[in-house]
Formats: sequence, structure tokens, C-alpha cells
Amino acid sequence: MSEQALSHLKVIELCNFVCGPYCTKLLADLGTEVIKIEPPAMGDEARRRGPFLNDTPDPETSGLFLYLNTNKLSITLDIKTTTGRNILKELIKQSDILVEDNPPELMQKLGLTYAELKKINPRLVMTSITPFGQTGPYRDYKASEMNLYHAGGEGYLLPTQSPDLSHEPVKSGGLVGDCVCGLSAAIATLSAAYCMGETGVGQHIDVSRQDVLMTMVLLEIAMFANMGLVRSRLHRPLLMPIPMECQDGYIMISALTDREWQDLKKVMGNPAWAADERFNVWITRHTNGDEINPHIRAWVKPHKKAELFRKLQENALVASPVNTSEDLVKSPQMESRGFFVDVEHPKAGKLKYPTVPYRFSHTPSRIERPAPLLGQDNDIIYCERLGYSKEEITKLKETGVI
Amino acid sequence: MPEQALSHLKVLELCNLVSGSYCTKLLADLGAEVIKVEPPGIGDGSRRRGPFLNDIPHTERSGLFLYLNTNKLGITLDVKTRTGQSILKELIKQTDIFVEDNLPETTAELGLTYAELKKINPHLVMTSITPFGQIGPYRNYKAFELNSVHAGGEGYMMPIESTFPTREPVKGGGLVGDCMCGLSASLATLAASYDMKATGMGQHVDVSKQDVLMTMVGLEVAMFTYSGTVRTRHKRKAMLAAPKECQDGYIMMSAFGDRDWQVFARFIGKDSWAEEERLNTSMKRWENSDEIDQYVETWAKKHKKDDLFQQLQANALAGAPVNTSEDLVKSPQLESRGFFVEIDHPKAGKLNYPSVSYNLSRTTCNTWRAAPLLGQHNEFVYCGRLGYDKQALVKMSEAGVI
Repeated sequence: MSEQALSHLKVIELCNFVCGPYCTKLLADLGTEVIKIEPPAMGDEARRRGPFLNDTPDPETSGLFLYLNTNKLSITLDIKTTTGRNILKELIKQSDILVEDNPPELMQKLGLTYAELKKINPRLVMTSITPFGQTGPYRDYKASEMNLYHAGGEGYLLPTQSPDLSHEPVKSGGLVGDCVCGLSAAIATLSAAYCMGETGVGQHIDVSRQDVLMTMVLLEIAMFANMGLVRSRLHRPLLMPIPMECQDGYIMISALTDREWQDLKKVMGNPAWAADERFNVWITRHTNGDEINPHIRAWVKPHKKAELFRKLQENALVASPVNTSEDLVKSPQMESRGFFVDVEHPKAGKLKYPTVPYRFSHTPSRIERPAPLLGQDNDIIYCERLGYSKEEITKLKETGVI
Repeated sequence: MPEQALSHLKVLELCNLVSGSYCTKLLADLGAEVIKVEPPGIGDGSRRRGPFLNDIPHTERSGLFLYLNTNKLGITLDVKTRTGQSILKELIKQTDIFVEDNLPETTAELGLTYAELKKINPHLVMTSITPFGQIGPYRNYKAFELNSVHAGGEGYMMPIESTFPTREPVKGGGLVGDCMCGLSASLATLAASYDMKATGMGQHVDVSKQDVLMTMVGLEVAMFTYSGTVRTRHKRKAMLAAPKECQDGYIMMSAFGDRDWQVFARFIGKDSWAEEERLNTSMKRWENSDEIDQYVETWAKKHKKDDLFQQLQANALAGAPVNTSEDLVKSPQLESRGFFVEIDHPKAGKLNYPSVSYNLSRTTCNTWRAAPLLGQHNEFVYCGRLGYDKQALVKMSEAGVI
């Protein structure tokens, strides 16, 4: 039995920043060997983005890089040189999966198209993650997470249910847009790898980041495609559509069914205003949401969010506090699931890392190694895997190829 | 050679609403056979959620259900009855993957725990998708997408870069939170299937929706664990952090790095800025971001969003318009990629559906089956797969078991 679900797969990553590295991180955390190829000296762009440990910029202690590159090996290689490309091809011959995020025209120029690579490794699954995909008029266009989030149509709806409708569109916090793209790319890659296992033949996967974000906002888009309606973020009368303020933060409560409404009334102590018969029915409860919400808001206000959360859940009501990162790190649920693990890194020291959102009964996902130092595994890969001598390595270093 | 990447996989789905249905949709769209099990009479909850075609509520014409259940077979079965449970087990014997989203206590009550099911099918990969996972003090707590998003810490950051940092937290539009959970579950399921093929052993995959959302905002969470600071959504000094209003909408422009800055300055008609020493590093531009943003805001208002998008890209600058669903449906890029596919459905008729965000060169999805009518495949599955005769089917239907 393999120790981890994907222990037998070998992956080469030729990616920068968030999206591609998150895709291969997901695979690495499930057991694949991932060799991350970084430009010599500079390394991945994420090394230069914060947050930095103790707010001191250092390419080896960027929180973003450390998180996105757990369980990977790092080698340096300048693929813009002919020698660099030849070495890359030797590595590709030995791997199952190549994940890359370069503009199609650049891959063409470098002679690294799937059509070329499948000649040297017909089993290869090659995944290309680009802002707008490998085809179409926008295929070589540039976009970062901030741009794509809006290209995907998601930002237009935000802030949804806003009291201030003139507010310009915003996007979700963090780098969610990029993570979702990495996740989608990982699924497509794994399904192709599964198919390769059965047929022995690889293939090329073309992931468009705009498409990924569109498959997520689904309904709004389908509504226009079929009914010509553009859904807006306008305020609609709904029961508790947004979080309500507590003493120490916010809580998001839902009471969708009639049973839940009755139970919520009970938890609130059956106040007189709630006896209104219109509120007993789902549809009129929502259309009169604007009348009900202030009452619930007033009831919620003096509570503490964690206490109210437990009280509601104990009454089989659906609710969740609006958690800050502090709440999550201190959560008994997270502790019980072992969501955070301590990982030791030569430069960043011992830090807590978020792990994976799934637990496997037989093949546990593990963080076995922290993010690699730049070029940390050059010797292992170049000498042991590809058979270069130490002298050749020194030469490659001097010429800036690795 | 299989026609699609996952053509050889058989999946049984016992899920309601979005996360689980989206998880198996992703597998179905990659070729897996998915049998969706729905409660007799009422079916999946998403059949009763809008948007409905032409705004007329009908359980066979919910946009949400139609989108989430393409390429699946549908049968009805009451798993709360003894007969229902034993029929489900017969189906589980014939399946590779079982995806379910019941609270752990319900699964135990129904006798459908992994411990039980692996006795009848040791190859089985069972994936459980629940709000807080299978272990920990919150394992039986309830949450919908609205609640989960805030439990995961995502909502707290929103609206980020807000002009009203004091307003209550909001969440992303659509059902993004649930889709991300479905995506993660799908990835984990595929990894376990890959391992099952290698080892012949199945396993239980425990997906916590809260954990999924946390791995997406990993950065903020990790940051707190480093330094003990809780990141807020307060407006921070930043250049071009939010979309800028145009004549006909918004555009999100980026100019990271010195090269992009110089090109961008000339692009917006500020040639002098490209040369000025006080703006020649990203640090200095950050210091002067108020001045820069103020100018860009006035400038952007004179332009149309798509013109700006095309011109930015022609200058190799990253940028994207804030797209509405109308923009997306009419986009030449999406048309060129064939993102929307027309699927015929007996009740909803021919509609345009968003397809998948990845194209697989050899095994792409090219035949689309519409979402099943409630119990549409009862005869096919019960008679064809399990060997019941038609009379037995009538009896079970009369008894309300199917």
C-alpha cells in the first residue's frame, strides 16, 4: 500500500506566484513528488511578496511562498537558455505531469509546446494554466488575480445586498480567485493522470482562469445566457441575508424552513412581534424580511458570537460566527481536527501551517517538508537524477543556467 | 481507450443542494457515471430554489438544479426505510465512489458509516462533505453556504479595501463557497480513487467545509499564527487597489514593477510620470498612490471599459473589465472557447449551460446530458443494474420507497 494517495506520481512545476504553485501544492500534499523549477537567483515571485516573518523581507521567509510550496523540491534553471531547455526536457522525460503557467506565445518561442513534449514523453500530462486559456482572441492577454476576479464576473455582484449601491465592485479577500483556479487545475490534472494510468497515453489540459471563476458564479451567468437578465447586487427583501452584529463581532444565522423559524422564535423567548402570522410562512417571512431583521438584530446585539453560535446549534439551528483569523487559530474544532501543524524551516524557523481540508482514512496527507530554499535540491536532481557531475554543476552555476 | 478521462468510474451520490452535487458534477463532466439518489416525491432541495426558467417555479426547471446535475442519472430512494437502506447497499456494492453530505449522526443512524460500507465493498472510496468535518466538537453542527463562508474566515475580510470599513462583513456573490467545497471534495475523491487503483483498497475521505474555506484564505490565517496580528479590511495605502469607474462600468488595472509602470504612465497620458525620479520605484509609487489614483479615476471616466481592456493588453499590461453576466455571455473569448453549450431537457427545453473550465486535449467532454428528471433512471438502474422486475418497481413506488 502506498503511504500517501499520490506517492507514485512525479510532477514538474514551471509556475510563478499563486495559481500554479497552489495546484501542485495540492498534489504534493497528497504525496506526489513535485520538482519546482525557479529562475536562478530571483526565484518565484511569491518569495518577494509578504507577509514576511516579523515583517522583515527575506526571500526565504515569505508567508505566501512558505504556504504555497510545502512538500516540494526546488531546483533553479534558466529555461530561456538552450542548455536550460535541454535539461528541462530531460526532466520531463522522467515525469508524469508538467504544470506550467506561461503565455502560449512564450511556450511556443521556447519550443515547449505539448506537441513537442509529447514526442519525448507520450505519457506526459501537461497542464497549462493561463488567464484566458490556450485559444481565443485573448489567449496571450495578461491578468493577475485582481483583474481576473473581475473578468470572471464575480466582482460585479459584490458587495451584494449592499446598503450603498453606488459602491464600486469589490473582490473577495485573500487570493481566493487564484486558489480556486489552482484547485480546478488540480482536478483536471488528476483526472488526466488517472486516465493515463489506464491508457498509457497523456494529454494536454488547457485551464482558463476566467472560465474557472465563471463556473463558480454559475447562476447569474446562466440567467443571462437564457433569459437575458443581468442580476445585480441590489438589496432584496430577505430574512437575515447578511451577518448581524454581536457584542464582539458578527454572526450569520439562517432560518430557512418553517421548523427552523419556530425554533428560532423559541430561542429568542417567543417575543410578541414574532407572533405575526405572516411570518409563519416561508415566502412572506422573506418578503417581510425588512420588518423582521431589525427585531432579530436587536436580540442578537447583546450576545457574544461564540456563545450564540453554540446556543443556536444546540437548538438545531443553522448559524456560524464571522470568524477572524484569530478565532480560527484558537478554534476547538480546528484543534480537534489537527488543522494546523508545526513545520520547521531552516530560515523561517518553526511555524504553524494550515494543512488540507480533507482527511483520508488510509493515506493521510502530511506536510513532510517545508517550502524549499531556492535551488535547495539542485544537487539531488541534477547529479542523482540526471547524472551530471559536480564539475558540470559548477559550470552551469557560473553561466547562470541554474 | 476511454472516451473521457473518468469513463471507467462509477459514482453514487447521496447529496442535497450545492457542494456535494457540484463535486459529482465535476466528476460526471469528466466522464464518470454518476447515479444521483433523491428522496421520492420531493427530490433534491435545489429543485425548489430559483432561478426558475421564465420565473415560473417548477421542480424540473430550476436553473440551480439543471446546472449542478448535468451528465448524471437520477433515481429516487427513501434511505430512511429499511428496504431503502438495503437497496442502497446493493448499489454501493457495484460502485467505486460514494459521495454523501449527511451529518455524521444521521449517517450512523442510517447504518451507512464507512466502517459498515467497507465490509460490503472494500474498494469503496467514500467521501463525506459536512460543514465541520467528521470529528471535533462541531461535527454535527449545521451550516449553509452563507454560514460556512463566514465560518471559514473569508467574510471577515470583505468588503476589502472598502470605503466603509465599518460596515458589516459580506460574502462573495453566488454560491462560490459551496462550489469551492465541491471542488476540494472532488480533488480528494480523485486522489483516493487513484490510490485505490494502485492498491485495490478504498478509504474514507472526510471533507470539512470550514477547512476548505480556510485553506483558501490560508494567507491571513497563517499570518496570524506568525505574528498574532488579525488582518483587517481597512483601506491601506495601495496603488490601483480597486476597480476604476469608466463610462459604462468598471475596469481593474494593474501596473506592478517598473516596466509596467512606465508603460502605464504613458498609456494614461502622463509621460512625465514615467521619467520622474519621485515615482521610479514601487515604494515611491506606493507613497504617492493617492495622487496617482486620483488622476487615474478622473482619466478612466472618459473611457469605455472594453476599449481600455483592449488597449491595456495591446501594451502588455494586466487588466480586465469588471464583467457583468451580459458581458460574459457576449464575450468573443468565451465564444471562441465554446464555453457555453446548448443542452436539451424534456421540461426546460434547450438552454445554454456554462461548461467546464478546462479542456482536455484527448478526452474532452463533448456529449452533454441534461440534469435527470426526478426518478428518470429508476427503471434503468433498479431493473438493469440490480435485477428487479417491473412489478417490484411498481410495488416499491407504491410503498414510497422509490
